[in-house]
Amino acid sequence: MFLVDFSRIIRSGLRSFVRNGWLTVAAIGMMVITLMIISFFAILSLLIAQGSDIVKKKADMSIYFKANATNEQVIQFEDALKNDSSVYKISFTSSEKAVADYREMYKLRPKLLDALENSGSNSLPSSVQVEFYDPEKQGNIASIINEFKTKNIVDRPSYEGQKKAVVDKIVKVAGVTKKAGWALASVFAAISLIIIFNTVRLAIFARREEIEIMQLVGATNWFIRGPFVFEGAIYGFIGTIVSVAIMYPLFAVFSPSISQFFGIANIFNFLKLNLWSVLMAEFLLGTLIGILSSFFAIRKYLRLA
Amino acid sequence: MIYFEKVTKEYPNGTTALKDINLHIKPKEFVTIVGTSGAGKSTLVKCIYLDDKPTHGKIFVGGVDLTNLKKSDVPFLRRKIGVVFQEYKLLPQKTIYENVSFALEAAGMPTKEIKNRVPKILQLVGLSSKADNFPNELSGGEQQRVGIARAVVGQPKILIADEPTGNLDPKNAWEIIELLLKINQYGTTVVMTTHNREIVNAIKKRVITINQGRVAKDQEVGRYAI
Repeated sequence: MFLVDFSRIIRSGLRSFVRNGWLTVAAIGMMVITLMIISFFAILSLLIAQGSDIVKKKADMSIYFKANATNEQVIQFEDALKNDSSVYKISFTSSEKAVADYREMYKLRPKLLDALENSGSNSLPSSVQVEFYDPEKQGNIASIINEFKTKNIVDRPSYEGQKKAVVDKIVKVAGVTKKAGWALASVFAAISLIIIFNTVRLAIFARREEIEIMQLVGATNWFIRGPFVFEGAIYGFIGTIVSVAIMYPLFAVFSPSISQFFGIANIFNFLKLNLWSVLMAEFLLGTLIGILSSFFAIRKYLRLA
Repeated sequence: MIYFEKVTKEYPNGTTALKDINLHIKPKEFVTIVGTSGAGKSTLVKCIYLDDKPTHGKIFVGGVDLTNLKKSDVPFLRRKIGVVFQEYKLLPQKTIYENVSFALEAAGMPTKEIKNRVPKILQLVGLSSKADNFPNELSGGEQQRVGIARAVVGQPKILIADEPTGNLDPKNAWEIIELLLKINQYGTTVVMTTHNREIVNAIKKRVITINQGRVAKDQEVGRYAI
């Protein structure tokens, strides 16, 4: 009994999907646009989130040792830093490595290399680089540095004064952008949901008389609703396929340059690796939107006189 | 078969469509309900197939008290009453065959039984060749015959026809009336509203005249007189 009804509902939904013609095309078109907007903004937010994390990570701090600092003192200072809970990672750069890095960095600009030679000492100070979990929270680092500064072991940190102000600003902007990205994504998702709901509502409005007729010949509400809801599910299913078919090649082409620009992982690779989960997520989202839209849009016309 | 007990219908805007109607329609009867536009004919039959509800009074159809019926029971009652409408009310996106089979599918009838019944009923109304056409490809008379096929395919005890010839020319109108008479002969109670004087006078059946929401006349072999 249930199976018979179910197969009748499915067949009826398929038939009306095919016969609806332009209304079907319009509804699927809306579904495709909705899914693409949601995916686009979801990915954009992901990018911004990743990008701002990277900016934050890059806001590390270099502290230079005085030339007369002993190995023991260096280790003592490093330990003091390591013990602070705000510190994510520290790494030591020796004087020799600093010179080598400098040579490597400026090998195409001999004048700057000459400057090093001409400074007489032919050396750069050794230093320690500090990365924080969150550059905005630096625990007791400032007081630790001050303590060792008075002991004449370290110099001023790079991350101070003007530079600190700039980095702080970047970190702040990144945070705001991240929030704005999510907000924008939610707003656009909401707008496109309203639009798709209205499209389905219009499609059902055009067929409200059919609903009335079906009621008059003794169909139960769920027997009437079934085919419409199934049709909504088909909109979602086809909408998913079309939107992925459009987005996949777009990402294949543009993703490398985008990732380079933001300095983040290649989105296309992410998409390729997770193709099935992305497809499933889109499919679930699209079908759910289609089903819910139909379900609620038809409710109004199912009220009995 | 159908009882009306002191049925009154008032619309929220204050108009009274039916006033204190008492009626008894017996099984296998062919009843014609006549009256001017707005007299309340349509409201009266709508109350039988639950497209409308009386504000006072009681209606019994086949022993069931309609005024106490739960909303969820409405579809099941409607399956026992066939309805033919003036404006046909066919499903535009379904073929003639599907229009007729829909009511049976909705009622959960086995597919085998549906495949057996629908062609027979289409043959009865003379539309076997149009089974795969859509309603808008048919003439008015043909569409109304589909309406009748749909109404009787479930073998209801009662057939309501609300101005079934209202949109048809005399020739087509007569074909419809003849179909209804034939169905009545098979044992179905038929309740028809109409404006058509010639038809009422020719068929010599019971005529109930409604005037301003009241039963003005009720004659066993009636004539159209308003």
